[in-house]
Amino acid sequence: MSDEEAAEQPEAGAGTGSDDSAKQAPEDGEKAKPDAAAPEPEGPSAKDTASDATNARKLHQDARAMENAIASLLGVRGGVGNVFVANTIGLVDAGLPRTTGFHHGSVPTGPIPAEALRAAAVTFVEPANYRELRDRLRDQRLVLLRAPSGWGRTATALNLLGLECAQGVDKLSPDTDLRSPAAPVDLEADRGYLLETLEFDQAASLREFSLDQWRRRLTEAGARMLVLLGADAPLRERELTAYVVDGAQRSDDRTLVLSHFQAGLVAAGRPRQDLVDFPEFTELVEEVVGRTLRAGDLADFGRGLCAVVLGEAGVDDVRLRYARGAESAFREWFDSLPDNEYRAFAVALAVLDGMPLATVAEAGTMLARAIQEAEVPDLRDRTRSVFAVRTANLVERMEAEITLAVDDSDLGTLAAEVARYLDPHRPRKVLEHVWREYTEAHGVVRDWLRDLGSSPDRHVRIRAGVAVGLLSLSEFDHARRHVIEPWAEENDYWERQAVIGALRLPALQPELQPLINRMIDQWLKGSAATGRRVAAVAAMGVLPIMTTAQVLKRLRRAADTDEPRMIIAVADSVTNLSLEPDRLDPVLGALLSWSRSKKADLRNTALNCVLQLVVYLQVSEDGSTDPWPGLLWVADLDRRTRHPARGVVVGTRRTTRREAVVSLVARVLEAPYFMGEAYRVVHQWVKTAERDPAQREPLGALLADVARATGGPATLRLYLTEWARARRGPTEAASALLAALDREEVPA
Amino acid sequence: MDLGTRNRAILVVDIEKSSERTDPRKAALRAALYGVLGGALRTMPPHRVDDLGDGVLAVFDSDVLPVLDPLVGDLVQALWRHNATVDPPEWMRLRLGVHFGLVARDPHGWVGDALTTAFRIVNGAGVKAVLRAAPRAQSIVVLSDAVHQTVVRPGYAALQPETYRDLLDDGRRMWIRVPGYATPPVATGAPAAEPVRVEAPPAKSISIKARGNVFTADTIGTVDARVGLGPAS
Repeated sequence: MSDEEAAEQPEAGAGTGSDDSAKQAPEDGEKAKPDAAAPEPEGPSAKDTASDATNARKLHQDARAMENAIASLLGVRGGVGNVFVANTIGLVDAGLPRTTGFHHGSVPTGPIPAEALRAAAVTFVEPANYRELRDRLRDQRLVLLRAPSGWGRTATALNLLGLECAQGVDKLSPDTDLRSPAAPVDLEADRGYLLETLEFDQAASLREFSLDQWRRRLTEAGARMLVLLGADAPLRERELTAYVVDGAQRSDDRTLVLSHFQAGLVAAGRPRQDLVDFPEFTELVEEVVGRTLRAGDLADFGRGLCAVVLGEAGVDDVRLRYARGAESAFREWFDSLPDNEYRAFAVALAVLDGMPLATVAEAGTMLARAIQEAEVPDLRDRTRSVFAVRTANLVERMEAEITLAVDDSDLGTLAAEVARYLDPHRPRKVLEHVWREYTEAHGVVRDWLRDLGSSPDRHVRIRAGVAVGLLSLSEFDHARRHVIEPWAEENDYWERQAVIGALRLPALQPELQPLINRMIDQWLKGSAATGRRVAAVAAMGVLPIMTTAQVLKRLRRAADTDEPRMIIAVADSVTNLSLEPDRLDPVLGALLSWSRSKKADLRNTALNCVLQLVVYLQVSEDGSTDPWPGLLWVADLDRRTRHPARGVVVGTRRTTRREAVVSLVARVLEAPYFMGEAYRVVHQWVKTAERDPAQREPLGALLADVARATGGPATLRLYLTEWARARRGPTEAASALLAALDREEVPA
Repeated sequence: MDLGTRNRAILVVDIEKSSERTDPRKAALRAALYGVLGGALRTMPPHRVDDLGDGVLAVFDSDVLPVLDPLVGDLVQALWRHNATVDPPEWMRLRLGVHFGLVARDPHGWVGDALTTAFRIVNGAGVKAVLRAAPRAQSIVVLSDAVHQTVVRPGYAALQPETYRDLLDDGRRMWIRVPGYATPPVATGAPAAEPVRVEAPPAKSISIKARGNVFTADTIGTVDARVGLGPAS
């Protein structure tokens, strides 16, 4: 959590590479950074950014900081740890940015991972009218499930569709229009389709005729579809009776708690035990299941009890959150805070929970000052004392603690004293409480968060973004107009991170997803690299609210540019997409297509993306001393397979991942503008192969194929020979690779 | 439960490829099978379950409709839930055969030609081939022609006749459904209107494992299938 200003990923405010046309004037909206006296230095070109592997680490740290921020506000203590998984594509020098908690229980648009379906099945508790739902889905293939939020609609839908559709389940884009039976959805046999939300106006104007047409399409395709509706969805009741099934009132909350409790035990390798085996839980369980909680909260309660059994939490921690008196105790605590200093610190700690005390204190002071200014407009009346509050008192009064945490900064890992609430769920409670109960404070807190969104500290600006996202759940449009869009308009990497942070939590809410999609489409209008357009491009790479095809279609339009800022954003989005295993094929297909476009700018951006993937991606392979270049590994997997899948689609043609990688690497090696950087990357690969003999043979085979695609190995031979001759050059690897080129009989 | 000869519903459940597994894995699968059966059978009419080693025979003192709906549906649901806890290569995949007819119980076990039919339909080479051809399936439901004609074709309950297709396996007509698939993924390429014909394996033999013993014969007679199953519990 160090100040990363100096080492932060720079903006490409002007192209300094050979692409002179890309140069642009400093942005009008450029502002002085809070702690930067000098103007921001000119950034490198898009190509320099793509070919600099240290930027991969920053991309990873961004993702990690984002996940930690989300985890902190959702009460997941410990945040997201480093997860190093062999045989999975990650970013150079970074491990794996995506973790199991990536979607935080929500379902990404597009194919739903098998693990998500399995997780839903393991803990699923049937509602009373489950059989009716199942029979209706079997019989008519299309069902509109109507139930209140928190009922467990998504879990029920995943379970039903997973059970009835052997080929898997896709979540439809939230802007799918059911009123149009010709909506472009490719229905596949034995596949289930989930539309997680139906907007009010769409629900109100939905006709039976449209649903009949959908049903016919589904029957012809052999597919099934479930549409989830809120209890208050304004439907034409009588007309749609055949399709609507109301979720029966949930009657067995105890079973739901037990199900998640037992699933947690089994996952931890413990025997399946009943809750009655733990008398210390009895009273709390009785109390909690007696309340009308959301299914998600009951599940969380079950997992919390499981954590107690596993020794990861105390029963008091669980009681603190779920017991009936918890809410009133919390209110009493907040209301008893003596003054604005304390309340400001409480809010700052809620936003920055788990961050260094100094950072929290500074942010708290900023907020306290803002509150004071709001209450006492005359600045001469300020009476605040610098030594008014001692840290120990503050922390104790906050029901917080100071603890040590390890963080990986740009310079390496370091331990820091951090402040955090004892109750991991308190950050969210504090923010929601302030927002709900103190409307007068809205403006002050909003402005304060907006300022934090420009902080030079990556963690602070992302935390601020996520906090705005949390507050926006109740009034998204307000947050969009007053904070999110102003951030986007800054057209700066820092605020862009705050924007993405602010969109992450709303993007997990089905009812907000169509709005966000529409907002992104609005932002994408035009052709200049405006702040909104660049932010939209950056957001598309990480928000799970569009299908890959939808994202790539929009990225293609954005990629037809010569503005470095936009090229970098497109490359980062493409890189983030390629880290998702099921998105790599479409990404490779898109890059193959773009890099053959008649539009020079689009070709240029595509090759820039290829260069970035070649530099940024890596895989830890069992039996290798060094990580493999990601695309080499992808290509080699196909080589090891007898009949590799032809999953990469380019127009009407299908190709294997290996063929795609060979073509793309060949194109970037042949492109005059990228040739130098591309050969430098190959040089790196050869040096890696010098250290790790296991990579020599695969690399030799890949280079032989690339040489064939480029029309001959002469240049490669030349470089390999030259690299080998250098002092401490990769002689053994180069010899092996030259031999491989000979063996593959590449014509000279 | 009256043990006299009477019309009863029969369910045979068999674990796919059980013989290829190690003993500890077989034991785990058996435990899982009984876990899957336990909940689903709880609400069924009076019945008796006999162990077959890598499967079970359940005979119900009722007509066949409740076996098809809800029992088979509940079993498929419970199986889905069990398999969600393991990786696909470790899935337990079941063949569920349903028939009905006159059966009686003597001190050694069940007796009746209907049992032979139930065992034959669930162990047919064609049925096994269909399940093999459906790697994403977790079960296959096999009905005798009699069950199909009597209960499914007329459309009782939520049985959806269109999800079944007929299969000619060693000259015997049966009806199959693969849960999760709109139509069973038969591998023969036969048009949907034609029943899929599957030739009998060259040397017909039937193995029945019961209480740890394996009985192998080239045929199942009218009364020999349950011999050795031990006393009634």
